[in-house]
Amino acid sequence: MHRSIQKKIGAGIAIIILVMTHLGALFAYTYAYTNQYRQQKELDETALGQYVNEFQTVVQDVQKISHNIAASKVIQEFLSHEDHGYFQVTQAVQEIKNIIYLRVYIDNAVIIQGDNVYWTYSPFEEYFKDRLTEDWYTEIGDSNEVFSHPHSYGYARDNRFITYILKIPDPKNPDGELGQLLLNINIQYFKDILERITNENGEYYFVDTRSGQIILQRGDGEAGRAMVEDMSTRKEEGKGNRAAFRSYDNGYFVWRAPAGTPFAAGIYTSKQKLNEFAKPLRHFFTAYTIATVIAVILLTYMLLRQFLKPLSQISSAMLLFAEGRKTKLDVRTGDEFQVLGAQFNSMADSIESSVTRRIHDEKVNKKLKFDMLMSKIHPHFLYNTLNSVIYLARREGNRDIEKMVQSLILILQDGMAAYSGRIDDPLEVELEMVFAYCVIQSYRYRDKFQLICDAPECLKKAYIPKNILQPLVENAIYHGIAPMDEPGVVEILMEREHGSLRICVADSGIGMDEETLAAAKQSMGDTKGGVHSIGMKSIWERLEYLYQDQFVFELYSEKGKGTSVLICIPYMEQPVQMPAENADLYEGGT
Amino acid sequence: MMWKKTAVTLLIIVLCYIGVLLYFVRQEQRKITKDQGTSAQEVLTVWYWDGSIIEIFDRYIRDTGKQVRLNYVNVSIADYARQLKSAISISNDLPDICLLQDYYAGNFLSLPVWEDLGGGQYGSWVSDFPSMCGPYITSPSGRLVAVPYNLDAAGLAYREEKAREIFGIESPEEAMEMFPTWDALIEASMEKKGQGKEFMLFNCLGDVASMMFNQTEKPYIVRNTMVEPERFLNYFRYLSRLYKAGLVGDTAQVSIEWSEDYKDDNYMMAPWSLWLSQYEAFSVNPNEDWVLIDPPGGSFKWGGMVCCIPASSPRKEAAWDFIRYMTQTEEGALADKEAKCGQLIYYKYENCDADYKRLNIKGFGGQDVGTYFMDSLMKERYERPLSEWDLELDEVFHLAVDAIVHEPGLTPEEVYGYFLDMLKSGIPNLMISPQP
Repeated sequence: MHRSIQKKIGAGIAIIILVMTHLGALFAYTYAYTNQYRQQKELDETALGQYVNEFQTVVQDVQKISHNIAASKVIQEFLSHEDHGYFQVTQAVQEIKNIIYLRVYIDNAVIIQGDNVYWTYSPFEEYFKDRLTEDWYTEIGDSNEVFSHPHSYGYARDNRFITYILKIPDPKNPDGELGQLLLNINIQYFKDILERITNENGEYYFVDTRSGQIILQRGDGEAGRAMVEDMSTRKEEGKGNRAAFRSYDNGYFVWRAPAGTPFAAGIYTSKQKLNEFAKPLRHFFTAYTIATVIAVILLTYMLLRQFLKPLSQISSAMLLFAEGRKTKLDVRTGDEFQVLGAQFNSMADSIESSVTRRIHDEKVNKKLKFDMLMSKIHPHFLYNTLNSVIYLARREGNRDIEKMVQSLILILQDGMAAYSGRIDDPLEVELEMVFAYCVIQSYRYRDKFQLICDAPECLKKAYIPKNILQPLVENAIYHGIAPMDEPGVVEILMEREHGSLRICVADSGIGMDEETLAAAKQSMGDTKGGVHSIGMKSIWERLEYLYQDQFVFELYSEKGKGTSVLICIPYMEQPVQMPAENADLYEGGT
Repeated sequence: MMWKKTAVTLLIIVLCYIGVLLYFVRQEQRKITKDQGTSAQEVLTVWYWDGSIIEIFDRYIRDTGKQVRLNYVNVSIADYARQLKSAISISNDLPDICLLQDYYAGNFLSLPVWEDLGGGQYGSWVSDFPSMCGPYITSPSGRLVAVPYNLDAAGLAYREEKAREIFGIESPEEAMEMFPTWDALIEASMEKKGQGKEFMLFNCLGDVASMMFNQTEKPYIVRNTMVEPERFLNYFRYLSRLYKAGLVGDTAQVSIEWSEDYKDDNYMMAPWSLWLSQYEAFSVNPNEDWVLIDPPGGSFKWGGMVCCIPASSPRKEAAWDFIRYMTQTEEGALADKEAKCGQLIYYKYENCDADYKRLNIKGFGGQDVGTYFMDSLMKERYERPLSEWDLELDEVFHLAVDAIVHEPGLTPEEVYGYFLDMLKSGIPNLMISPQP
């Protein structure tokens, strides 16, 4: 049983802690994840800011260099006329090369003058002139300075370039142009920057916002397409100093469009990547939760076992006690269990005492029953005999014998009534028994005693236990008056006092000295002693049996002045209710 | 007793908690260290014109597991030296690894910008390398400032079918016998032209010029003095004759058109070295009939590279580690050979087996180009001594050669005159002996 309580309490606590721990861990994880999310976003924005700065530096540098080339004396001179000899071309090309050598991101340059195209890589080759028929160049329109769409040329066609195109104005004709300068910027350079500023596996996109073409990317492109769409719908947002932000597919992307360029760059941080970042957190909280749950279960179990150990002791003691083996508990916990243990010990003592008494009572009852059974001789034979004695006495004219035997029959009949289950009688019946007895005793002690009975008529219906007056009168005659030389008086007095009936049987006999009186009083609770003692004790026991502690039975005596016995019992006009536990004592007595 | 058990259990639980916490703290620290490592990952910047280095670098990472990233900056071979020179002259950042080719190496080896690779932490000595590499890896003061990379001989590739058709050549040996010198080649070709046969030998006059330019053991410039400048007049005469006879085309050297020209069989011959594989020019040959032989005048050194580390590089250790892998390890040798631009390297030159030499290249049919390259071209090649003005000399020479094409009215003598003028302009202190 104690295990069950332990399990119940343990399970209850464990569930509560489990739920609380999970909730706590979930809350902490959510908080940490949100923090991580914010931190990553800030990192991405910072990286993007760095990229934009570097990109703009390159763009501005390219623009500056292009203007320097256009303003160069050699180039101005070169473009001022159209027929160029071999050495003029090589001189112009060398001039441009000397300027762009300083910038590794400028792959090469092209000077266009009318139909002549001079590519610094191979100035007399038609190759680049053919490239000018491609969309990246034909789509530039009338802009004086513009960045082209990405395109490829050269041996490695996977090398891609963005060309910065500058129309070189004719100083003599404001509406005319001397030619065009093309600076081919290797996109690889922008890729290097992006790869440097982003995480190893971070997704980035570099976009031509005019066409929505993704120029550079690391990622599956789906987020890139969403980013391009966002760039087209929120064009102005990414142009400021802050990156445009948008949640996407449980992740997010941030992008910026460097001012003055048709390009934009964005970084996409996917849900998987965020989860990857939060992986250690997840592992930590999982381990923490598991460890906490195990710890809580283990500790709860151990502590409960510890706390409920006295309960277990009490329970075991009870089981042993139920088996009849008494155990003394020694619980010193200083709490309710100690009180419970002490109460158990007390209760066990009390029950043991009660059982001992019950066993004693049982023995007494059995003895009484045995005695009664022994006395249950069919009285008819005795009555017939006594009636024969009466018949003979009447025939002989002996009135005394007749009277004495009739009194004896009356007493015997009363005694038989007691055997048949009656334990009390109205006072007048009991008095009749006393009178019958006195009739018999008057023949033995002729003129020796006188019975005076002062019983008000109103009290004669009151019920009193059977055979309590006769033994008292008998004691008064035998022990009080008979030993005297002169005659004495036995007086029976009765009165009602509130709910009690007081009966006093007094004699004017020899009385008792103090020692004898003490011995007599002692004998009322003792089975040893003479007939006198047995009679008194029997009365006392019956009174106690019927009224428990609601009766008075007292003995008063003084040497030479007589003896008085006072009985005080509850006044009842109905037969006394027999205690249930003793009902069987009278079964079969009818 | 029970309380003791509980206390012990509690202690174990607390220890477990501490263990779990420490584990995660350590994991986080490792992650931070790793992230820092990633963010602080060394990035080696290399300027180069051949993307094959990316392949080799990837293989280096695979083989060594090093946490280094390559920042490959594609710089055209034509602009490489000038770009490097400009960066040095204005103290711009240099790449962590520089590759010096023979035609401009002389200009840079004397500059005090290179890390001394001799002894010390690099553990290299000049004597570790073949003696022929000495001038290309040391500064004038004798410091080891570079390590040799690729084998650098060049020969002549010819189309077997075309040669058979025009010259009736049946074998490589016969071809070499027929064209032992430029004169012999020109004479034989002129004869065939005179017989009405339409053909062209080379597509690029600059290629022929490079062959002639490098087929010498005699220096062009010693200190500030030009040595036998009339040799250039001789070159211009040969070149002018070849061009005017319609035996050589006008395509610019290593231009896009130059590469495209080899896709059909208009041109019969080309100078050839291993590094030309990067252009895929010779692989586009359905006939698979390119044949590698010694060129007229003999094989020559062309396109050899050495690797240097700028002393200003903050990543010298990482740069050296990659260079060492690429130039001085078996794994690197294999990576070099198996890359797109299949290079055989000096590290294996003197002690390699037949397997290493064996190299079949698309376009050359069944010829073992590698073995021929190692056993023949490398052994007998001319090696032009370096000078501090090689770059200027090379540029001016090729400008003059291109003038033959673009200014057809110029005589070889006029071209030679322009050549000398441009040379003086480029190298003001140069002493040139009187013209013949």
